[in-house]
Amino acid sequence: MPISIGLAAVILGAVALVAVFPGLAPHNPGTIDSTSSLAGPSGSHLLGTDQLGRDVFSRVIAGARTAVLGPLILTIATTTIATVLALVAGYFKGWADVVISRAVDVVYSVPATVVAIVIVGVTGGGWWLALSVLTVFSLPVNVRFLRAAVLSRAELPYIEAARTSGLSEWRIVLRHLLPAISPFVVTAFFLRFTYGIVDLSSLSFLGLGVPPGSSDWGRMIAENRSLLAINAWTTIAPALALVAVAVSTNTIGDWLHARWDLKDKTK
Amino acid sequence: MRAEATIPTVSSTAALAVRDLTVRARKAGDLVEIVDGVAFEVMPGEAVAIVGESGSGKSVSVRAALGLLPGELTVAGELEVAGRQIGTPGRRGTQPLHGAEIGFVMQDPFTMLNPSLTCGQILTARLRDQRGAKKGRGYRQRAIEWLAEVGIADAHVVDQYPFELSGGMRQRVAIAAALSGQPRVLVADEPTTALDVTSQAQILDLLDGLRRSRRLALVLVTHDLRVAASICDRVYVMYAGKVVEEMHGARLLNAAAHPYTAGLVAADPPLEQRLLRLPTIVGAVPSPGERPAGCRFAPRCEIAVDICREKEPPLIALGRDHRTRCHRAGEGLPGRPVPVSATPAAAAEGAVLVRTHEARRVYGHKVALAAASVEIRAGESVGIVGESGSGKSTLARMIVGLEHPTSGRVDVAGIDVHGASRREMETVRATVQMAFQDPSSTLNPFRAVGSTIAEAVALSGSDDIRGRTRELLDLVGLNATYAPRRPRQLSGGERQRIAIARALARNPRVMVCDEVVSALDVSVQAHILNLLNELRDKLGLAYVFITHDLAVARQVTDRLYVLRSGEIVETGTTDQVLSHPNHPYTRDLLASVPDPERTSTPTLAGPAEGESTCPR
Repeated sequence: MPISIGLAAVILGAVALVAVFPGLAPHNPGTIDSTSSLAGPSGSHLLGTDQLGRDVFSRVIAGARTAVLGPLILTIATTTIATVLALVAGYFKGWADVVISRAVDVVYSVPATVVAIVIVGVTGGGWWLALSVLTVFSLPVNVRFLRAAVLSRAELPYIEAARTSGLSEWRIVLRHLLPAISPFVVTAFFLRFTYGIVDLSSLSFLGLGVPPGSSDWGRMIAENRSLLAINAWTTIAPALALVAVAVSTNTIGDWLHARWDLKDKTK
Repeated sequence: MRAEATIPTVSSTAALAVRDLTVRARKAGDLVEIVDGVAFEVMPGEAVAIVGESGSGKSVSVRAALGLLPGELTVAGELEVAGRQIGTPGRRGTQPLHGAEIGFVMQDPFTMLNPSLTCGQILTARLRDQRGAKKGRGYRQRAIEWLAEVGIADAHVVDQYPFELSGGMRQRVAIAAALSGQPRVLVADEPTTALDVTSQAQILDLLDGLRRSRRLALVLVTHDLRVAASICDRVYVMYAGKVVEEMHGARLLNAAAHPYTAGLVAADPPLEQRLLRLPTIVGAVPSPGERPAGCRFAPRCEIAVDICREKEPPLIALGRDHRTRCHRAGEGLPGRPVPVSATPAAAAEGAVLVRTHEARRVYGHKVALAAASVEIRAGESVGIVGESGSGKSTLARMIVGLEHPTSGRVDVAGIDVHGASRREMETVRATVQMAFQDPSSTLNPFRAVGSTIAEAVALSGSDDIRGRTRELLDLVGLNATYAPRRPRQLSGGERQRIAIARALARNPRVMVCDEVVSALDVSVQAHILNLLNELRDKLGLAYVFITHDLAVARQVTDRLYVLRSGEIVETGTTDQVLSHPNHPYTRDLLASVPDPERTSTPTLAGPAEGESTCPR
């Protein structure tokens, strides 16, 4: 296992840990302490404090939850729906394929980020709306990718053999086809997660989706931009965290893809 | 103790000589030998075959000699070209030889030729390289001449792309490309395996003619003994990484001295008669790293004695140009019992289980199957033979319901498969089942084979799934320990047995076998054919046997339908069709089977030129 994968795994592990146990943060991220505002890094405040005296390090740790949770939900939703659509379109073909593929094409042709911003911004909706909109717009790429995977596997002799034996179509899909495309699904999952982090953080950077003052990384980057000269960590820390998680999941997704060499696994 | 027969000093005129070739690979941390101490040579104008089954190392040997192996494999040995010592064959040493001294033709003509270049460009690519000049008019003319030399008289082919040509044409172009550098040696690795039998005959003819006209040294790697015997002067037989016999090609089929070679020859199904049981070689080829000490063939050898298991035999001379790697060389092999001919089956009288009436399948303009009407009765074995594109697979798939005819009817047990209701389909499924061709993709790689069979058993409504699974495994000659294994842990022959067991799980009355032995080695094929005949006797099954190999059809079928381009051109009992064919196409097919007895191959009806599949 190359070092980069180990490193990625460590980073993701750490993030997952603090996402589940935010109490690990040294300070309460919400504690406002005007006396020590904008302090530099010190023993008690590893990365200094922000404008309101909140500990930057603790805020970054607290932000892990929203940074990870949102994309996780988004990715699970997207991957599940995309897999179902891909299986239906790729295996049953016919008009189902036509409808799904064309619908996907339409969504794909829309500039996703812009539209997401508009929808969330105009309706003033919160986090769940942001997630839903992004889910819809993430579907096209994944449906296409997984549909191609399904097409490449659906004609394999053992699937035809299952049909000849009289196995019902749904059972074939679940028991034979799904395992056959599972490497693709897992890869798509990891890669989708990367985009999910970036997408959601972009939205929150623009002030959409999360309330002001919350310890969301994207939000933090946006709010603390003005403080760069004073305490750069207020902006850089969340930004680094974001990059680290995104790169880690991308690296692992890439590695899985290469490892499984998703060409022809039947030999 | 016999001394190793001295390998004759390579005369300076040997076009290609390889000595002491050893190829090693890393397998789970250890260095294992794939090929061990192999030596062969070929004189100008001579044709030499390197024969073996999978795992013999024949392809690896040849590619090692040419420096075409991936870097992870280590190669040791001596290479000599036209008397010049090249040293250890490796990428650096042999690069300049490619094309100029040694031409290489591979198995799959489709992937060998660059699909984005026209044939003319492929052929003249070398010319451009050496001179550095861009293509000139003279080059196109040269390309046309070279194509003519390989039997393509139609000049338009120069401007066509490989995908527009048929398999046979592509292989000719590949040969022309390999010859464009005017090499002394042409190495062909299974050049005809992917081709139809008629194309195969033409390509072999071509290779034979070329080596005579150009004094080309030809090295042919093949698994097909008949091919080796019919056009090669000398043959090297390889087993488990070593050369076990060297002899004249003409004598290969009746004077083999090594037990393995003799076993292979005996296992090859004869075209002229149907045998009750094909002779087989027990056991399986050992993989690198698991080869036994002593003689590698000893565990499977009928005449092995103690010394065979202890000490590896050297190559022992048995007369001029005949060497065998056997401690008991010269003692003569025990006479094989004359194989018993099967009595011709009486015409089947059972109920008609499958009937197609003018079944037709078209894809756009392409007619895959044109108005086929066949009948299969209970208990009879019917063969459907033809070349690729004949529509035989389409017909088979229609019978099991994987495809539907565009017009006409396909009836199974009286039910029209196309419009069958759910219930009716259940009856269809319980009547016909299918075993597929490719052992590597016919089983779900993620599942244990036992569970694959059990799934099919469950559909048959059986109460005791486990018991029945065990029963089925037993029927196909595998014991219960196979059940938890994954397909990748099994050999090709074992996988096909599982595929057959799965097909039998629903107690069908008809089993459709779609080229089930085509991807198997000769010795494994013999096992499976015997198994199929056995099962038929035991279970009273009817077979629909799809194959392109007429000798195989002879062994398994009672009646035959011969298909050509979607049409049935001849039908009758197997004996009638194969021994007294009526239709010229059937005669062509039979004439194309390589027969070492014939001194000259007959000219065939199919045109060599203008065979392009692209309609103009």
